[in-house]
Parts: sequence; structure tokens; C-alpha cells
Amino acid sequence: MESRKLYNRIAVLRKDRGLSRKELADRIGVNYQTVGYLEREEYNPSLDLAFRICEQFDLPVEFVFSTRPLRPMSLEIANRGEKAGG
Amino acid sequence: MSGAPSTRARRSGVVVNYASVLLVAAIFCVGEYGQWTAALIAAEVAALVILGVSLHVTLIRTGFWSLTHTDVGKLDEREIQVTHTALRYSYAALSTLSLVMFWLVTISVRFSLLSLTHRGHFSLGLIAVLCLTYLIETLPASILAWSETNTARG
Repeated sequence: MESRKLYNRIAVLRKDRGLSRKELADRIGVNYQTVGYLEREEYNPSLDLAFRICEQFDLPVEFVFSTRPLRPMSLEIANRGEKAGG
Repeated sequence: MSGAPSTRARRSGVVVNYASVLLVAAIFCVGEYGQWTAALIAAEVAALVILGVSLHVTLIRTGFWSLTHTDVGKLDEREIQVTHTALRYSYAALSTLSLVMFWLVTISVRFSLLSLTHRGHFSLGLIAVLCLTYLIETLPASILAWSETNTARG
């Protein structure tokens, strides 16, 4: 079965938290090159690894991963601000 | 990763590596079945040097060799996945090649087309076994070097 491409925000979240690939890799228990593959969306993580990544950023899984292309985080935040403001 | 060979360079390395194996085997056969001359010995040594250098640069320094020879418990899930795929292709290729060689030798010996011994030595059989052993040891790493977009480890 051909698996679907998964889109993610790992690269932008890692940079936002000031982590290097090596640091993130050590925290989630993979080789640092695997983080590169994940960021380039060349590898779909297992459910366990996806949860470990989300726990690392303390964010829900749907915010980090999606089966559809993700919008830039600035738009996402602005949209949520508008909704909260009514 | 800076200084890491590109995919094209790694693929060229794999081609050079296996071409040098064939060259080593061919020169060995010419020497054994003909006459070992100084030029032939020099060519054999040069081919062995090319073999060693291409093996080191393409498979050992890039980490692909260690990736296929590391305990599975020390690999992450992506590394297990790519190693598994490389080993699966290697198994298919090597089992087919071994069977083809087995049948060729059996038929050739049966109809006296080929002798596995020469001058009392097991020359052709020996070089065939050595080449097959080398292929068994290096093929999974070569598949990774050919197909991966990055080197294995930094």
C-alpha cells in the first residue's frame, strides 16, 4: 500500500525553540539525519515517533502533522486571534 | 553535511568499486591461466588499490557499511526501514546470482566445458567464492549508497 505524504512543521518549530537537529534528535531518540529526512518530508514517522515529537514541542499532533499542506504559522496564529476576538 | 559526497559521486563510487572487483578477478584469471608477468602483477596491485580506495570513500567513510553491519537495536526506525529494504533487494539479487552460478558450474563441469582447478590449484572456484563473498558483504551498503539522498551518519 502506498502511504500518503505527511506534511509537518518540525523545521519551523525546531528553529522557533532554538534547537539544533542534533539536540532534537537526541531528545526524540533518533539519528540527527532522520530529523533532516522528517523536516524535508521525505520520511513519514511512526505514530510513536510523531507523538514523541509533539510531546517535545508540547503541541497537539494536528498542529505539527497534516495530510494536507500546512499554512504558515503566522497565518494560523492570526486566524486563531481573529476567532478568539470574535 | 559539508564534505559529504553527492549522490552522483556515491553512485560513481559504487560503479568504480564493482568494476575494480571485475578487473581484479579478470587479471587474476589471466595470470593464473596464462603467465604472471611484472606488468600483470602491477595491474593487479593497481586494481586492488582502486578497489580499496573506492570501498573506503563510498561505503566506509559515508557510514553505509556500518549502517548495514550495526545491531538493529542501535538503529532508529527510519534506519531500520532503509536497511531492511536494502537487505531485501540484496537477498533477491544474491540468491538469484548464486543459483545462476551454481547451475552454470554444474552444467559446465558435467559437459567438460570448464575446469574448476588449474595447475593443481582451485583458482577459478577460489576467485568466484571471493567475489561472491565481497558482493554479499558490500551489496546492501552499495544499494544504500546508490539510493539514499544523504550519507548514513555524520
